[in-house]
Amino acid sequence: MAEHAYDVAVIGSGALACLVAGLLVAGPARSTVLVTTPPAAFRLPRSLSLGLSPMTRPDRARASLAARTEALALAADLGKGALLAEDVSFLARNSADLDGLGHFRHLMRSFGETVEPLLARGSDQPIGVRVRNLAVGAPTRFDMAASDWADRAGARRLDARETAVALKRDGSCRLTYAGITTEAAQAVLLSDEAILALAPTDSLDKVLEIVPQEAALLAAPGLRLRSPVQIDLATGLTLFGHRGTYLALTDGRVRLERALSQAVPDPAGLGILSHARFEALVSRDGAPYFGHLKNSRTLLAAALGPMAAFLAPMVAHWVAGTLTEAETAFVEAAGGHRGAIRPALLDLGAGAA
Amino acid sequence: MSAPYRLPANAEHGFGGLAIDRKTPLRFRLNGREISGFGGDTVLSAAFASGLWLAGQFRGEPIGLSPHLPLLVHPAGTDAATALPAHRLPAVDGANLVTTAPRLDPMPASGLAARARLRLLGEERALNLQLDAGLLPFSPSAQTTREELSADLVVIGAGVAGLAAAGTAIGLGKRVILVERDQQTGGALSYFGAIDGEETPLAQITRLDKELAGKGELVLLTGAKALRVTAGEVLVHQIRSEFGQITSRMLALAAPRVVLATGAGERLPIYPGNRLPFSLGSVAAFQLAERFGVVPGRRLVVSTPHAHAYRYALYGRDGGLDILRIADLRLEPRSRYVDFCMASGLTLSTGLVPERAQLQKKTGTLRFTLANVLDAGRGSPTEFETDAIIAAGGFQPRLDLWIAAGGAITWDKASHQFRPRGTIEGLVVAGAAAGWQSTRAAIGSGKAAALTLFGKPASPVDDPALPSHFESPDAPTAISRATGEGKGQGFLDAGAAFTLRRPLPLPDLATEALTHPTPLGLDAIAALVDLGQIDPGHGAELARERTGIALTIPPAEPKAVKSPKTAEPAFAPENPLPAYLAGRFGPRPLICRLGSPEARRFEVGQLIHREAVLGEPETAIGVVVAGASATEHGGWALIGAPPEESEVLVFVRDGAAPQAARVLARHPARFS
Repeated sequence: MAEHAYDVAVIGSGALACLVAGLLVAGPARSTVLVTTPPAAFRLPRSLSLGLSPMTRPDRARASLAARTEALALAADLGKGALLAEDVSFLARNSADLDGLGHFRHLMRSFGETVEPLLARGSDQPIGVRVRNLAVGAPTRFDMAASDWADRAGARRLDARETAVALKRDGSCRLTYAGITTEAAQAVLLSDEAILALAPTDSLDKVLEIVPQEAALLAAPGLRLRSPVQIDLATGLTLFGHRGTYLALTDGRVRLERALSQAVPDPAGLGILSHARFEALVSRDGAPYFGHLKNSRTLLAAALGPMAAFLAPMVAHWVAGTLTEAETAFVEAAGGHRGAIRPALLDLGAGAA
Repeated sequence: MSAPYRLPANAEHGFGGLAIDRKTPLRFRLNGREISGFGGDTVLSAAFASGLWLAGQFRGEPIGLSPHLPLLVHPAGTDAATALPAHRLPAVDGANLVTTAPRLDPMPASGLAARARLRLLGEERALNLQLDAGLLPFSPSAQTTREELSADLVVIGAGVAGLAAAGTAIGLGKRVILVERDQQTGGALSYFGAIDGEETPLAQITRLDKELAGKGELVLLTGAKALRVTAGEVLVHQIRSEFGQITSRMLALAAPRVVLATGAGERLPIYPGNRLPFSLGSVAAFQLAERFGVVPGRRLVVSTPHAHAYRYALYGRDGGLDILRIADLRLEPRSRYVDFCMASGLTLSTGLVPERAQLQKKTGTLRFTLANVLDAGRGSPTEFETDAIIAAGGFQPRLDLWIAAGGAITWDKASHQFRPRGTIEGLVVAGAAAGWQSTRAAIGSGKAAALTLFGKPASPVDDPALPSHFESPDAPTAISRATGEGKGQGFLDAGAAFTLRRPLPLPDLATEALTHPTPLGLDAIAALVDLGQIDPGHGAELARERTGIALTIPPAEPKAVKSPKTAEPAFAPENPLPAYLAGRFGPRPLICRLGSPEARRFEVGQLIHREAVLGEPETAIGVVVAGASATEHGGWALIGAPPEESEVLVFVRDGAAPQAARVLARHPARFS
């Protein structure tokens, strides 16, 4: 058997990959190398990390909430300002979405989470649900804090833009950086960017689909959101507000132009300061994916949704083979080759692709 | 002096203003202030000539008017949505114009109150714009008329590269539309001049113009700004002045091939006070003088990292300006222009980098401080009391259209420029926009671009550079030493964004994208790279995000459903239950009518348990899928194995509390 310099290579950019790398280093005998692109100032955030996202399956909720509790225990180590406590509104535009949010709300209440109904202004008509003081990753700052924390935890870091990665079928990988080659026994792909760059499309499980997502920075002084973070289930549009400036993110179902024209009363008054289109992975059944590339033991986790970073402890347990009982039930159901949609995993957002 | 901001008509080198007709004086009002100009002036050049150089304030700092600032104006009493950029708008006699930007002064800009103020307080010396939020870039009104044209080739930019591309295509018998932002062709050629053995700029432009003149296959659109290039179409906004009337129109130019010859813009040197009034870049200053005879003052200091700005100093001196000093960033600059300047008696200092500029409130003059590049600010600075500052910078190819069309860019370390990389079918970048330096290369690249697009062989582009012992290489754009906190550190761009230089480490670097939501231009991004605040790879991506915006938000769609639930909830079995309930409660769950002994109305999503001691959510036997009608209680539920007898209670979960319910009936429909 080949000698590997590292047990694990975590390949991916963003808070999830950094947190998983740091958690693996802290685990027993897990030397870890993190192959990542460092976050940069001024760049447009491509996701918003939320401590909760709509779901209806109890096993998923239990595993997700447990992982979140573990992740939030790291908050103090991440430093001030990395995590915000913001009210988050999930809006429905049709009765089907409103019912979906009803299932989400009552499921969360059964786990002791407070999710309150959201009524139309000046009316008793329900239009969605709201979660108060939810942990929200400050855009970019959270990624930077996670990146710094991985360094402090002892994960060796390589700049993904300058590292050649060769994935092997046995799950290991060879990394070449600055002319020096090293190997890791297990490669784990933990961001859509890394998966799409390194894995051939036909090596991905058919339940995963590549969709075009968009991010934009908007100047909209007159826009009033129901809360600092507002997510429209029908269009998949997330808006995060900050003093008349808004980060807008789509989930791939609806083009940003159309989503904004539905969500903003006066779209003509919007100033678009920044915009990016990029490819991302979603699952056809709306559930997270834990699996591996076809004909390979290279691990990948994808379609984890806005909670992705908060699921880092569960992902780290999965990679290290130390899943808890609750996690095992969920990850095994959501793992392996799903291929066709598994009814037992179908959740809100199914068919988003 | 009667006209301190306009050189005499007979000023040498054409610095009396080639575009204006001094026999047709005109007057108009801008925010109530009377502006004098001539036929051929733009609103902005006339304002400059009338002494209006102060745009307003950004966070308390005075900001000068500049051709790079998108100052939008419209006739008083008309819709602000029809406003046009002042630097492109021809001045018209008798007009009464107002700006759209918010003003510091609550007094109105027009009408009786404005006239009363004018009478009582005299002329304003500033436009008093409140610039803290920056200015939104020009966006044509939805009411602008739209016309369509088609051609075999659209060339954007009528500098030498664009003219050469258009001429080459016409020589091939193709139909060409040439789009030029300014009212005249030639671009910045006269600023750059020619090197030994080349034609003079004027001769080159005249020759290229002649080659195109009278060609029926050519449509030349001047005053026309290309807004977007997409596959097969170029969207253009044109301002025209006909018989004293200003009109604007949108043009959709259908063409399978496009040459982008958009030139290069001059970057803003970075130092505190770099956007004060009476401060201009050397290209803007040259073009204002050459086209309109306008100068920012009579006593000037010229700071430059290259030889091109020497021409302004020489021509300006010959036109009657007092050039207090040419301050070259380079330690030992060599150039024929250096020799000309020395021979002409101009004073040259080398190795000086701008340190700061300050507006002297009492005198209205500028104090310009420069530091020696060698002593890191330890030595005595060199200071000037001057009317105006010409601060030249390096050049950044204008690539916004290329990036918005999906083109990639890369950072060129040697030239401190982002340059185009890769190809886009049917779209070629030529001239200075592609990074070519010499006039010969610009012309060659324009020809090559047209030939390539029509599938013809093209000669390699020759970009001759003078040996360094004759012509010193350009220095990078000046950056002053960082001193103190963010305010007053200078701006990274000359345009709408007002991107402030931040000291290192950036205090809120992490959330910069949200806390500093300005439309960063490529110049500012190049400055960030030069400052080491973003690496070139991220810079290229940032440019794609910030300058490649190609979004059109359609008007709000009428809402099909006013509210998610307009009617009382009632279970309609013909509506399928959501897929996410599949498998939750066994293979063959039943739809049941639930009654509430306590007359409660259940909510969608409430879990149903068999026991009053609810247990874990995973042990639920069902879930409420629809509420009851307004006159009923209970609701509808999906239950895996409902009790057979209606007397048996089940328990609907309300958080941690159980609510008793009875299964009253089973619906014949099944959920699978």
